[in-house]
Amino acid sequence: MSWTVRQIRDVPKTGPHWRSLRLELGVQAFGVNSTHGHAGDLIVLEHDESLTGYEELYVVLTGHASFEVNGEETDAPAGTLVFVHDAGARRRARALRDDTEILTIGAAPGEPFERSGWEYAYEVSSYVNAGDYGAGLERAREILLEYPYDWPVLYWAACCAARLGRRDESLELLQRAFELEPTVAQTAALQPAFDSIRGDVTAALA
Amino acid sequence: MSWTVTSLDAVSSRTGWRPLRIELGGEAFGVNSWHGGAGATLVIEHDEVLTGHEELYDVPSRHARMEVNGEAVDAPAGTIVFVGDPGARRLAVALVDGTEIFTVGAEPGAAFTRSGWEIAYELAEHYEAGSYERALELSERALVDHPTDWAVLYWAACSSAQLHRFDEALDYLRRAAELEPTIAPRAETQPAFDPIRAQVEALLA
Repeated sequence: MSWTVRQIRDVPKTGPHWRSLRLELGVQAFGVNSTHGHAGDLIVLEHDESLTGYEELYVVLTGHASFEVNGEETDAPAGTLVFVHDAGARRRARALRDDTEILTIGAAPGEPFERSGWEYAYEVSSYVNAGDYGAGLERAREILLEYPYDWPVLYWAACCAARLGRRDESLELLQRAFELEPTVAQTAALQPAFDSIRGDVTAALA
Repeated sequence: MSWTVTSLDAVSSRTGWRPLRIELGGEAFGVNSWHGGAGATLVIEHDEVLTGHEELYDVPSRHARMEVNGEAVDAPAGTIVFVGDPGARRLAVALVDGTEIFTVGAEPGAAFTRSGWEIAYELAEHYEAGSYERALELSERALVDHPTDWAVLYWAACSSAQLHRFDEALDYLRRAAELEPTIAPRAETQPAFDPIRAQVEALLA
């Protein structure tokens, strides 16, 4: 079959909010994913696209969201397009209403599309959410050979290592993630995987 | 400003085409949207052989009917249709007023370049506004980089005909029809060709 039809709401989520449309549909030419959540949910995590060099277009398909780009807030009801062409711009989005869905398209100008580490990070996080920490860490190591600076993959690898009781490995992975992305400290502070090494984590990310 | 905010409704056009990529200044993928009332053709029948693009269609509002390789697809709001094969023929029609179809396209394994399709829609805007000279000038420029883009050739033919440059119009139309079979039925109902109707019919017979 050379074409595929789906209802976005039927595409299963990886984690609490993310639908990996690109993988589901088999798209090879651009990144495309969707995030869904309810009032108050942070459905686009704060991040930039420095690692990928991507331009990103966010389309609010349903509900109502609030975006923040480089600290500037913008109201985003259904039908709003937020285009961030500066890969270094920090962006995030929060759902203001239940059933808010944001479609995201991304690719780097002047380059053939390559799968981003972000997508891999969601893959690793799905192992964590399923409790399969060994497989998650193994997959993360494979990915990190190709994307050694991908902080979300490093972060989820650290979670897996912590769950497996590999304290030193977890702390090293977490520190590498933190050096690349400072918001890792806040995310890690709320991550139950690090509860058993909480003191070390707090010290490492201080 | 490193980012831009707009809404689908704010990007308007005479032809129902919203040139989102141009409006937003995107350079990494093609992105456009179409809107129209019940019965309107939102995506004209075409394939993407010339561009090699994969295309993703999303219906953000109302209800459309799509057809891919002759197979009908019901597409209410929330539907996504991904056409991975550039050779697949596809079209979309609005079933209710205010239907919108949002489209993203790019070629796998290649850096994004602006497609002739986008240029053709830009030409159509000038044409519909009666700016035939401008449309022809832009067509000629576009054909340097996209000499086999039948949509650009078609609008060049229409513009030439409106400017009474009939030999030129027939030449552009012949080249377009050689590349795309649906040119013939389209040209049949195109008023620009009325003064040269007999020659057009002979050419496309």
